[in-house]
Amino acid sequence: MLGYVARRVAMAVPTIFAVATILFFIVRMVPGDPAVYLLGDMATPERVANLRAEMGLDKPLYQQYIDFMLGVLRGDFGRSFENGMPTMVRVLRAFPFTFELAVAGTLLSLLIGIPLGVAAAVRRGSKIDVLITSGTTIGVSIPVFWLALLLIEFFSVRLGLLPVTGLGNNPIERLRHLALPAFSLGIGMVATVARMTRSSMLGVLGKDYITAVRAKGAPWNVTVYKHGLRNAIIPVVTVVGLNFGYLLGGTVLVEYVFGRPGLGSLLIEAVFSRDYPQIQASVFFFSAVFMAVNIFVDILYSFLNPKIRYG
Amino acid sequence: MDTLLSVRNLKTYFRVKRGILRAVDNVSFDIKRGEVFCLVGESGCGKSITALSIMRLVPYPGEIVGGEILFDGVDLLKLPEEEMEKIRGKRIGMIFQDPHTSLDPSYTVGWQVEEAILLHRMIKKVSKLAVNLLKKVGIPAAEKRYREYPHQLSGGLKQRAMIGIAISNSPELLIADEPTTALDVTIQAQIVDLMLKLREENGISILLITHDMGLVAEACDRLAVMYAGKIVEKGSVEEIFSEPLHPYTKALLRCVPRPDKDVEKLVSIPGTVPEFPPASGCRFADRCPMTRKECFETTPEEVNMGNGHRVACHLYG
Repeated sequence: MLGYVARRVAMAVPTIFAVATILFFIVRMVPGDPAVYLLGDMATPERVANLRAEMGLDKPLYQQYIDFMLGVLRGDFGRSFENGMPTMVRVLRAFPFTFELAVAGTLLSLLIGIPLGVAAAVRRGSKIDVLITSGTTIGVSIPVFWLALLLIEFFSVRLGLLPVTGLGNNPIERLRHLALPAFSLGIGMVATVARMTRSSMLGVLGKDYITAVRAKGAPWNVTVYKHGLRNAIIPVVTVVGLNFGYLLGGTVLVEYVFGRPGLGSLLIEAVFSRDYPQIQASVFFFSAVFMAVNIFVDILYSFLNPKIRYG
Repeated sequence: MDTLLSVRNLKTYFRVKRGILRAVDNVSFDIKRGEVFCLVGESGCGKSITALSIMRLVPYPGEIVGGEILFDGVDLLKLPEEEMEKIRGKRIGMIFQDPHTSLDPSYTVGWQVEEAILLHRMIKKVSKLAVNLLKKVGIPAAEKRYREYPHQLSGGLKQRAMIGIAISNSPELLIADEPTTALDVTIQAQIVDLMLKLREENGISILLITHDMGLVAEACDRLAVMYAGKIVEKGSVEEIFSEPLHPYTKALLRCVPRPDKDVEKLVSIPGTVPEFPPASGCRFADRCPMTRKECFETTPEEVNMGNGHRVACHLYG
């Protein structure tokens, strides 16, 4: 098991370096000069040149790349052009808010999606099934930012039930502030989870061992949850795990709409101001988390599926 | 010997797009206590659906539309589902055709044996009982196998484990649906021996479903031959093997390869089982070498030929 984890981590190293390289060049392909942005359009060419030198942007591209990669190796992602703070520190400060949002969104999607999927599978072909299946189709197709605006309009503006922006300063307030963003973020995945659970469950319920369990005298609901869901959940976990990475990406929009601090807000701000080191640190961190989640899902998968654990 | 199970005029139909599929149509037979009763026939003749009907586990869109299944005098078809759950796995155990897919891959073998016990009995030292059961069905190193997952066991061992599960609550009836089909020939013999040993030791009745005439000759007391959802002939093994009456039974027996004779070609019955047989007339008529006019017109009634040997064919009407 430990060897397996070590192998997976080792395999991630080249990927991380590829990500860093692509990231470095993409950032520099975006039009716009950070020095001009910081100093404004009216700045003299000398001031711009001075600032560029200060930022290290006057060096040849290959030299900048080598400096950047050496920094990555040391864990040094440079300082923000914006306020001179170490970029990774800003990332690590922002991450808990994003993580909280992504976890809440995922939990919400599991909590709603799995029972919906099971209900649809068990009553296959019924009105409930049709309703859930078509409802989730709509769920998949709703753009996050649009849904977020609708939710704000309905729950905050009309009903006045939930706050729009901010974080809240006690646990209950914090949850209230989390509700709408988490829902906006999770709703797309509810659909994915429900459909995945349904199809996986249908496959499992048709298996011989389900009949065999019934032949042992197990009631239908015990069979459905203990044996049906237990086996059907394996592909769902994989999909949810992989989606968690995308969900982290999705936080960019949600955080922006709801004015929440977090990695997404930090990244958008950095892109607007062409804060190269900050963009690099943020995206690099996103990718690292994404890969870590994938490895974690694989490990979890092996716990759920004995064939992989012992295979 | 008194009767343990009496299936009377059982009808299990499947409502499919192209019409009603009469998978089991007016099937009747009795199984006595301590006897091995075989249901024989080609694939798709309704043997397995008969077995699942007894368990009331007919898959969708199938439905039992008529008849009685008297088990120890009680009609199983009239029981509420909760009562039926107390009979499944406790008084009637069942094993399936493919041991590779009949065990839940996510739980250990021991856990699944324990589940079978705990569904019907509250027992504290259930793990000891489970290991003993695995030993009883001849699984070597039972303590080790107890902790293993199904994929770590061979097909023969899995089928032994399935038998262990099926007999875990000492049922009166064991339904074995082609229990050896998916196994190697040498393992087949072992599994059959194991079932016969359980019959000897526990006096359990066995409903053995098979298409293997060799297995019938070896293991059964009485048998019924099924064709396209109907029983065409039934009687003791001696009677039917020495004097088969129905043209289908004769044809089936001719298909058994004879190692003592040097044959050029294996015998087969021309044609296939009709999926939607005509409502009236003999269902075997279009494949039968001895048809008469009436075979296509009226459904043959069952005729008693003595010694419990019954046949449904116009030749004997």
